[in-house]
Amino acid sequence: MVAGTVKIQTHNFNAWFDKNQVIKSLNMQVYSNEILGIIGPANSGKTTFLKSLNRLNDLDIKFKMDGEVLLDNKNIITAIDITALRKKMSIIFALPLPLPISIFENIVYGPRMHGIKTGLEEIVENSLKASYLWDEVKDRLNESALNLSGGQQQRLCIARSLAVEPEVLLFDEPCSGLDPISTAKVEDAMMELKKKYTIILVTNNVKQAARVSGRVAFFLMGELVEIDFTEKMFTNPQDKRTNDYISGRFG
Amino acid sequence: MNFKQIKEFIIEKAIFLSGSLSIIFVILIFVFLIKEGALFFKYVPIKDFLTGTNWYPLSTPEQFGMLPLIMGSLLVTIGAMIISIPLGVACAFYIAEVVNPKLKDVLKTGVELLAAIPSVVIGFVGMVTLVPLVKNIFNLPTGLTALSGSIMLAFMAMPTIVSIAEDAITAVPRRYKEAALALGATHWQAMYKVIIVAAAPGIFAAVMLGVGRVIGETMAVMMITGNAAVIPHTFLQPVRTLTATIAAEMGEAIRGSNHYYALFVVGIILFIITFAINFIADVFLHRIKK
Repeated sequence: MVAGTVKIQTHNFNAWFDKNQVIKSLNMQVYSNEILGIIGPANSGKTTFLKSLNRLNDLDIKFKMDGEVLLDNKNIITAIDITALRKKMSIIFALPLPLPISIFENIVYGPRMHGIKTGLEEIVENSLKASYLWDEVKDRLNESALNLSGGQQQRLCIARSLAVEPEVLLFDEPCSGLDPISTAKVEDAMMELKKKYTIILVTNNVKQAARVSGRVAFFLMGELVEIDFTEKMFTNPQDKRTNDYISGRFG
Repeated sequence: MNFKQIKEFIIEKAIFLSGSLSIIFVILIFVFLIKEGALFFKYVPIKDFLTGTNWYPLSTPEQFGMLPLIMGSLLVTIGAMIISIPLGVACAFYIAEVVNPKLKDVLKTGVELLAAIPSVVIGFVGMVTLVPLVKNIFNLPTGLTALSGSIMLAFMAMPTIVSIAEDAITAVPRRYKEAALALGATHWQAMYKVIIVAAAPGIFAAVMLGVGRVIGETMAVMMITGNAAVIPHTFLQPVRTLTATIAAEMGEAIRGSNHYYALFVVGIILFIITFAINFIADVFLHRIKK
């Protein structure tokens, strides 16, 4: 059984870009302290769902949504304080996106913005340790973040997200641009992080979903086809389409 | 050689020639300026020229102290920049980041249209509207002051600053903004901590090109700054700029006289200043492209 309590739940959640419906009547739950993997072919609404959770889709004027998405039983679709929401739901993008400033500044950027002025060194150290990057960069915190390798940049971005003390981590294909060793390090970080955070992992890599997530959801053309425990999903999927996708027959 | 090859040859050379002409012209102009100006220093020591405080080219003995002119240009330019940099950069941010897409095109075209107004018209409008206003507000004997010049020149620098700064801001990868917003930044926080930092070289280049435009401007300043070659102490005094000096005096300077050569030296100084400014701006613009 799932250990945690319900962290996020959606009721009849729909989303459109213009007239094109990209998420159709979504009903699902995400539990605290789990890693929920979301898999599915391109254009199935995975990233849109992720970006709806912290309202980054709002930047696109063509985007519309309705229904309910509850975070701790509060509807985020009608949330007024969007910056507070984004602080709680931190997203890590597919391509590492360090800001063009030093490693140290990248991490304290968020906390500073939220008014924290003291103990910044401690925040930096803790966040970097949690994202498994501390040992590699502790001697060069003042170097530009752009000098780091791709895998290090991605872990820096994770550290940066952790520094604002979120409750949910949203990973949007975090390893799509990384080599296998960097991928393994990011995955290690995720396994460790789930002890403290709720994690939603969108991935194009079915094997990655099998490796790290406790439960997996399969999206297809904006619909949730199936959601279940990873083991069951990969050994005995209920829906034929899930089976086809996982075994590589399409997608 | 057949016809096709001859055609290729001619076109190639013609393009090369047109391409190099503009550079050759710049070099020729500079050589000509130096040649005419250098003669001047036979008669007047360079130190007196640069630090002298009296510009009396027609009195006897002639005095060619350029300090008042440099100060005049400097004061008007600084004034114009104080007004146009905040306004221009804010305007660029508004157009690039805040305004909705439909209005954006209208605004940008409008600002660029400002560049199309001939400077003599700006000077003329300033003369009949701004100059009396400055005179009445500050209760001065004349409204032809550095302040009036600065205000009108600020209008002329605006299109350059807004247009280039807006391009620089729009060129900042959208992902930077998303990353900042995802960490819980408000729109304004994302703007001033991330977008300004990322667009800084471009904004700086925009400002430098604006400065270049202001320093080189002649007609408008000649009409509304009063043209008194004295070292100014406040913005409310008449001043004379380097450019206005050349324009006003070249017609009456006797060819081959010291006065004539002195004006060429003023031209050289002006050339060096604008060249340096454009060069710096260029360096920063190239830095963005990389």
